[in-house]
Amino acid sequence: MDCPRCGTKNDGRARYCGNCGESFSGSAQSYRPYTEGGQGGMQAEKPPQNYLIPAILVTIFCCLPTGIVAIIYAAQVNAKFHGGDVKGARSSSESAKLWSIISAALVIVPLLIIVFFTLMDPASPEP
Amino acid sequence: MATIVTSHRIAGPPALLLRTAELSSALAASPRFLYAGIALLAAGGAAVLYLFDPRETAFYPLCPFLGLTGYHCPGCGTLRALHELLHGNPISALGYNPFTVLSLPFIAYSLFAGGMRAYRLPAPRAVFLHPLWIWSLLAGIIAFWALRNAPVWPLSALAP
Repeated sequence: MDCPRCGTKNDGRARYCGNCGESFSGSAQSYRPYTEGGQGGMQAEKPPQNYLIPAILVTIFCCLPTGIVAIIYAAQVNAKFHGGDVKGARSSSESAKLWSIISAALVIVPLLIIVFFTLMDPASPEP
Repeated sequence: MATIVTSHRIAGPPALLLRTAELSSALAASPRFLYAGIALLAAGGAAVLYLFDPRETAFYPLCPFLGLTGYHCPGCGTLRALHELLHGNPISALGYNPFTVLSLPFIAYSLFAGGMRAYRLPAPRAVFLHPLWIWSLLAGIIAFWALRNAPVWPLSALAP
């Protein structure tokens, strides 16, 4: 985790900051540094979710070029955050999420429709 | 959840997409449900894939990209690869889709860590990937996509 006082990177299990000696035991962050909210303005900016895993999953399972679009946005999240553009990274994060959802919906919705009509088909073979 | 109810007034496919998006954000707001759902889905999917061979069963859907264009997509062969993996044949699984098989450990690790974090259990730190890694992954997927459709011998081995 990053030290809330001096910003130095520390091991996740560290109880004191290796640089300034700040105690982490009082802050909930030392145990769950990636939960939302937490210590308000105290904490250093953390990278927005890049949705890389959902993007890979929809690329593998949905077989559509839209999955590739999601991966491009996932890369942009990290690239922009790496370059210090936190706002841009957030907007790419939203796009990565959106394209993952679109990819999933483009496969799941037609599948559900096909299943529905197969089940409702009066001409389905019945001996 | 109130936002989901109000979207009833909009009709047509865009509303369906919108509701899917809202539902997913409602789920993401409660990561415990999300990860419990993922675990259930994975267990159910694994059971179905173990029992029913995609090569011999009709109910598995055809890849939409293959159906529309006649070309393999980077995900083609995933179901057969997972079936082979579940039956303990990693070599055969790699033959169906090396990309799926190789990315599986990373997907499993990431979902496991996310789930542990959602349930406040001891979890490894979230990793911030250098953007170059993701750009390389993207280039790799696109190259794999193109090469597995080449009808020449050493490359055609990449096709499922």
